[in-house]
Amino acid sequence: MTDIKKEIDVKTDRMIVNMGPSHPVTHGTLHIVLELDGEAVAASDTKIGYLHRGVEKLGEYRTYHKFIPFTDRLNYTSSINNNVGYTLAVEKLLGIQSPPRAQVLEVIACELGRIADHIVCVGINAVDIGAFTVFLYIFKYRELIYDIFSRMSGARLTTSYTRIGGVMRDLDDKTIQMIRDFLRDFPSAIDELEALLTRNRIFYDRTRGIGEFSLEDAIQYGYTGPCLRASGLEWDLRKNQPYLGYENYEFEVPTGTRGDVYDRYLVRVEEMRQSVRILEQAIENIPEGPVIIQDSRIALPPKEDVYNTIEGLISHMKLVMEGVKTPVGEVYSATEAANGELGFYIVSDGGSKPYRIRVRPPCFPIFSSFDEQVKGHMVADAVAILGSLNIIAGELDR
Amino acid sequence: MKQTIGLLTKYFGDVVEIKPGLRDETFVLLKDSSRIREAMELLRDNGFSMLIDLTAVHYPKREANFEMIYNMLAMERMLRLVMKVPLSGEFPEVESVSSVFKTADWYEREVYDMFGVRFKNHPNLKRILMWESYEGHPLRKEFPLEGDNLHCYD
Amino acid sequence: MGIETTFGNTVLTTQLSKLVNWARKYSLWPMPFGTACCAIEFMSMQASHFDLSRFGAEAMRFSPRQSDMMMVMGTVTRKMVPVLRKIYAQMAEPKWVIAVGACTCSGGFYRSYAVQQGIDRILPVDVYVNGCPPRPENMIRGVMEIQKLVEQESLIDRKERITAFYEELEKMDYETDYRPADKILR
Repeated sequence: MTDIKKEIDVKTDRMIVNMGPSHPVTHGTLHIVLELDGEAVAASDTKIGYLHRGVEKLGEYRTYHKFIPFTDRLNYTSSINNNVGYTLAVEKLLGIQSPPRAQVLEVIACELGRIADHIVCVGINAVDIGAFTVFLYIFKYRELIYDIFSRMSGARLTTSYTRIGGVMRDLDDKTIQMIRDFLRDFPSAIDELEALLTRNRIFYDRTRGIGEFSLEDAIQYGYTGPCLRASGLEWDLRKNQPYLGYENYEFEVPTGTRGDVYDRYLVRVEEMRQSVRILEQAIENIPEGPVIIQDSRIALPPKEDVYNTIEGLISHMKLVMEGVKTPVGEVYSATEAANGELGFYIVSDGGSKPYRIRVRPPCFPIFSSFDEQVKGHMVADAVAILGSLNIIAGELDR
Repeated sequence: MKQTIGLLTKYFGDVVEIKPGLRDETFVLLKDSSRIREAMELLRDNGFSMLIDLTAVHYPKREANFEMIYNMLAMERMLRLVMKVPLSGEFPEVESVSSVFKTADWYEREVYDMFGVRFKNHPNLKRILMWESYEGHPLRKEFPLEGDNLHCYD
Repeated sequence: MGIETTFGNTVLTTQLSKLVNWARKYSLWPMPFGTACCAIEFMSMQASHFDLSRFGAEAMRFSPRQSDMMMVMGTVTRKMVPVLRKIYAQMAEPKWVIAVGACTCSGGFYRSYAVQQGIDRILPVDVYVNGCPPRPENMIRGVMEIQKLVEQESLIDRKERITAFYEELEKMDYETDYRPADKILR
């Protein structure tokens, strides 16, 4: 399909087609201006910023704790991974570590979030290509994940689950049972998904060789996450720069060979299986202990102390009114979110608010290569490529 | 890491200054902003194959009131290095590195949009997040949070 | 088949607007204008678990010209405002608007330079759905509120109400008067 232009000798007038900002395939608010030569894309111009909400500026006016809800809405298909990424950055700035039980809970949350994200990406990519059934089948399992999140944090989507130095709430037995049930049922759902798509002739033809991206280009463009792995590099921060004790879990990093839409789909599906593997190990080995750091300068004291002791009340009030005191300095902390490397660069001037908080979104560099990827493909393939990149506007524009 | 630092000091001499970070980061301060492209090329050819992030920080009280931040990653050796370039002036200008790393193209547009830093030899220096006719650079410290006008895009 | 089997060959006396509204109530064609997080919950609302189709308004049309109910979901930034206006203008009359989620209703906690503080300064919003993001049930409730509104309000009243909204919008001082729609609608 790449040499479609060679097959057609007839020269036609170039046509400009606007995709977006409100278009069903743009998954939010992207604006793509395609210049078409017949049905092939001759050039494209992407415009972003339709969901720029000023999160980085707002962060400069909020204390470190109050920024957590904003991180929910960065990549809203896997909010919990953003929560974890942000609190890890602040913990790095403060030089603390959350207790072992909290770390395992964060791993569980992260992997569930990753599965939810990949479900959205694969499901919607399939819908865009024309396979609607997959969406209905697989979204049932996303609802199960959301039920688990609701029990963990009280919210389905905007979880705000982590706190600086731990997590907000412990897992109860019923939630653990729900996760076990999910882990029991979900592998068969992945098989079902693969039965519908992997060897589906139409899906294969629509995705194989579409949006091929070489490894050199991917590195030049700053690709991370599933898209980089699909291009053939075994690169996963969970393996290469372990955080939250990921070095203790056994899992594999799937890679592709050609870096096209089909490879990205396969990598995502395999990552869901690996996440299930990590979850199975994590859920059986949750250590006992507190879920948040026992330091009243950083974490809110337990409610009994606040109501019954003067020290508890004072430290609660000081923390809520003043926030966490941080050392002067700059840190960069990166985690492997569902889309790739999610980094937070925090500049602290010693106050309770960040001097500058920078979110390094995984989508941003990936989407900047879109123009190069669609060149020479058909319009319909542009849709497939866009879906496979999993561009989340909230994270892209911040 | 020592190898890279040795290389940088060998090529740039006094222009670079190595600063240990608060935790495990390595910060490299490049005092001469005109040599940033050279430094990026040197780092790219010596393992730091990925430009993870490019951003800026505004320090209105300092003499060098902007600081560019180039966040580099060496994938084989798993090293991270943050290169900082101080800039001064109301609308400072710095050499674009988009010819060294393609990903820098959009990042530099974002820095231009949010801070008003100009990039020399950038292929397409336009606003990226705000619309073209927007006035002001939102992430500067003097810019009010709620904006100084309520005008919409049209 | 059909209504004749129940009633036979008979005559019904009713107001025309009542009959039309009754029919219109169950034939809404929603146009999802999803920008952010609420659009993800909207997917849940549409998918198998919650299933909006049970309430007779599920034929989603992504083209504004084929739809008569706009669901604005997610933060509307100032860059997006003209797009939103244009899409609303392209929709066929009569049309209704649901503002889903805190950001759409009031700007939510994004009180920043880039975010439009509530779309009711641009469009005549009929139903506000609270929550950040609202649960799918809550969104379905929003659609059902619209159905109630469609049933109860004659189109002539509606036209007057919309005209009054735009007159008020003209008079509004953008810098100080924040919520014009509160006075007119409801």
